[in-house]
Amino acid sequence: MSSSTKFLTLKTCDDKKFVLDEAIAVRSQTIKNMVEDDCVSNVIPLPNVDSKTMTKVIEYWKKHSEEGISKDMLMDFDKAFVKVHHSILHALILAANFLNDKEMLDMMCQEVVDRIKGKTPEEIRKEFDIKNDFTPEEEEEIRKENAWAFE
Amino acid sequence: MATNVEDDDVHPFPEYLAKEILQDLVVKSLLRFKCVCKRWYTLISSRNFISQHLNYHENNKHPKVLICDHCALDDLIDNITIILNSEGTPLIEKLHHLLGFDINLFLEGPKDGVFLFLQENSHVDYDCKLGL
Repeated sequence: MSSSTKFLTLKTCDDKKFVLDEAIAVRSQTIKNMVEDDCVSNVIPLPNVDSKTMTKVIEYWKKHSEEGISKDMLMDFDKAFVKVHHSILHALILAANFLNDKEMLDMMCQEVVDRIKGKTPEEIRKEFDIKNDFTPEEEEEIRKENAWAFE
Repeated sequence: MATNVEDDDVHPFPEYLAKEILQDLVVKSLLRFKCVCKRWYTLISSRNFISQHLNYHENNKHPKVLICDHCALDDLIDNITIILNSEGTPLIEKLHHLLGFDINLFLEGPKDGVFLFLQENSHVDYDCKLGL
């Protein structure tokens, strides 16, 4: 093991390159596996992540790798970090999933849960851009079956 | 212009991520979300999801149990909801509904996420409609 800092270059799907300390980048299990299997040549392609999202991911990784940072400070950081538009939150979830950073993925999923738990089906469809593929009659039927859940 | 794409691409998450998120919700939210779209309906109604949901909340020691009791014979008791909050303390919604019962309440189950709410010495089998 070499003690000198090694850097990795990550390339996002929009062809932006990020040079990152390997010790930080291996928060991603996906990247860690590549490094351990010696699959890393010059540049690690991240075909599922765009640069805007990757910038956020790296911001998170760096903060969580800071030496001597207190738990409270990290909690405050996390709280502020997840307060983003839902489209960014969704992109971050997909990125955390692809990069296989379970800690980050869990935090993001929890935020989605907190956002949607009290919502109505209409609000959910809007939040997730989901098309209602029930006929009005079918939807009415399901609503009737579960009427108390709408109280 | 109005071409509606009807495929999975319109969904923001792969199914297992949607599962991951949905399994953290309480039953009441899930029942409401059944009518979001057919895919969610199928997912939330599936045996696989139901047992995953149950195990998840058992293992997390943050059980979110929700019991709904529909009783055709007694209008007083049309709906009972018991939710354990994240500290595991029972939190009873609509407490006044419980007044219809005396003592000796039985909870049977869960079976497929459903608890059956029974009253001792009563010949009435409450029709517990949890839906999940």
